[in-house]
Amino acid sequence: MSNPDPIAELLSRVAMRDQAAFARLFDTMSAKLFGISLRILGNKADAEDVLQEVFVKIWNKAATFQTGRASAVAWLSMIARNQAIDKLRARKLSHVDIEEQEYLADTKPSPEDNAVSTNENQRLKNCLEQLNPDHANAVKSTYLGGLSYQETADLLDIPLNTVRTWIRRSLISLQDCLRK
Amino acid sequence: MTQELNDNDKWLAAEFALGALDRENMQIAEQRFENDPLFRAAVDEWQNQLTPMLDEVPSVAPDPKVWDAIAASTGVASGPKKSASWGSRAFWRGLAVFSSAVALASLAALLYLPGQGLLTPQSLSPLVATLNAKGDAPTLLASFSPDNKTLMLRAVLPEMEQTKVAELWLVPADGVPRSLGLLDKAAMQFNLNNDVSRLMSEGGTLAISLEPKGGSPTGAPTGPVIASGKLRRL
Repeated sequence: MSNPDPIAELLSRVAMRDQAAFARLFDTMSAKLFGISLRILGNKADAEDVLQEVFVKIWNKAATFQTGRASAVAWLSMIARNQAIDKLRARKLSHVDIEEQEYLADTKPSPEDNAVSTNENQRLKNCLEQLNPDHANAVKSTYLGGLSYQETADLLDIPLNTVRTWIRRSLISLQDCLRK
Repeated sequence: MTQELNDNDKWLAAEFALGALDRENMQIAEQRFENDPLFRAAVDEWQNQLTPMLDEVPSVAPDPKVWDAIAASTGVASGPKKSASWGSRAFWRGLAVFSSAVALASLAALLYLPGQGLLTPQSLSPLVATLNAKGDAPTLLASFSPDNKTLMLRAVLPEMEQTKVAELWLVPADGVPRSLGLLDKAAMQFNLNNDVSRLMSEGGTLAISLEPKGGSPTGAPTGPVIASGKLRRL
């Protein structure tokens, strides 16, 4: 590899129990992953719990990263999103009232936020723009907000089956568009 | 084993990647993700495609106490980081210098033990590493002389099961572990071939994993890593 992904390189060292690499991975990625958890959970204390669980998982599972096809950032983001979504769903099951968006970051994405992916970002953006705006909105609420079909349906005030149809149709269109 | 996922599974993979599943189905999908390579490949492909959307999410620096909690539950040394100004590059540079000073002190002891003659004084710029297990005393001291492509080791290996051996790995800049050989004595010498020698450079990592007798069957580490350390220029 002539130009290895620095995050992937850190991950392979973490897999070898390299503590300095683990600390550096936290330095590099924790703000991004914390932002993702915060967006989904809307609550600082829960997002901190999730961030801790996420990095313990990364420490224990770093070796499995290399056996898959996801990019390092995609792999890390998935762990953070799934952990946050799981907490969100568990919280709803326990019937605790949620203060909607109790903690909202008032910052706009910084230039570094965009450094994660540039070309890919532009391509996906273009493809999202080609979707019906309502459908694109449903996809974004689901992916960025960690909402289930039912929650997206409630939020957009449309039937569950309509949401599922919109999103599935959107995913097919996105895949076709990205493959062009 | 089927070569392709059926439509239901394809949607399960896509909706798992999107995060649209309820808790029960999410747990089912997580199991599939861990155990079914075909399912995992489908999820990974979706992740790669959807991840750019996350650029819309602002980064937010977490409270430093989160790192302390992570360090405590993983057994990673957290001490110096606690007092560091958060994310300070100067701090990390300082830590690197400190670590190499510690490594140098250990290596001075290794290299200049009377009568050992591990390295001849005229050898130029050797690479050195101390391999530690979770903050314990060094498990292994290593020095590599580029002149004669010889890696000298002094190891204190833990008690091992009869069925296990300790295997030494180099993780160079490309992140792909290369086996350097099996460790079986208290002091060892490896003569590295040209290809591996070229990969020995500052910042690379040496690591020891526990493997079945005869060494890793796959060519990559399969067992737990018991110690690791970075190569530094002496």
